[in-house]
Amino acid sequence: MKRQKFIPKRVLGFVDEDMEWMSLTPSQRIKETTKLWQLYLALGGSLDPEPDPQSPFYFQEA
Amino acid sequence: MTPNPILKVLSTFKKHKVKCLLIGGQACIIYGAAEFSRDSDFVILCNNENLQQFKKALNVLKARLIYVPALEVSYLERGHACHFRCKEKFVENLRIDVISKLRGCEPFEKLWVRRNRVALKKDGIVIDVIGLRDLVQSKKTQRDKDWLMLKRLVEDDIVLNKAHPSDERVRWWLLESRNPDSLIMLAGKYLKIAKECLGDRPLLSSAINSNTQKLNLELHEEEIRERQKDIEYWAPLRKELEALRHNSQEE
Repeated sequence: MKRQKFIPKRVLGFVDEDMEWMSLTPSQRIKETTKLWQLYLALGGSLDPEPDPQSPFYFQEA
Repeated sequence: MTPNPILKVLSTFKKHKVKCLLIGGQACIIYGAAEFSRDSDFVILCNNENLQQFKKALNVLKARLIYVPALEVSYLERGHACHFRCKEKFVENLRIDVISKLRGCEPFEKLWVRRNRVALKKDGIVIDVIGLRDLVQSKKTQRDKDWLMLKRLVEDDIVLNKAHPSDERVRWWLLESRNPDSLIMLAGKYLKIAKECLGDRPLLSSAINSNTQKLNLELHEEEIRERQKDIEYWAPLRKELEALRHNSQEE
């Protein structure tokens, strides 16, 4: 995928963090989300998906 | 360092040459609409050979089927999803959901041709991810969170590419944007294209006339219609699932 252009200006409806995130390339976003995973797991986060009763895939596991 | 569990799944699939595309929350991260997701959803090529490779990858991840239906070509071809939970280290309890047909989207082979590829040099992985437009189409479901994501995906694309968009890209924005302000802005700036799109999306008439109130209402009605289509699409599949679940409990 092509590198995204850097977005210097804030756009209506987007906060600065959104603009920063958008300015990253897809591979940079994966790198950043990996850091979030590390923090999440270090804090004891579970890999279970959030229950989503609206999903047609939703079911109660036995 | 604890690896990203999604990357572990992806590298295992790659190693076993599983032909599939990343969809859902992880694809939204790649396109900039989300920052974190525990979803691990894939659309997979449905044939015996590919499912065999997929099963081998699941074995490596110590993933077991957690619900009906079984991983079989016939179920996937009818539109069912199959659900697994991993037990291997670093991916313990991660759920993997696979499907071979996405409602309203083209067949897998077309999605594959239109996919994007993201190379992670450090990890030595190339991620095959569903194309943005197909991802947006796949988000037209009955779930609230999908509509929020859909809106954000299109808005991001507008923000990132608004300097020099092709006519074709503007056309896509006009047909898919769910933000009244963006639609009014686009209709004003690209009136000719907006008029050409009226047949496919009549609510653009309100965008051309800068009628925000009417446009909001029409966008809401459009969403309701799409949600209803999704509910109707899943109704017979849910019924079949219920019967399968009932049978599996009796066995």
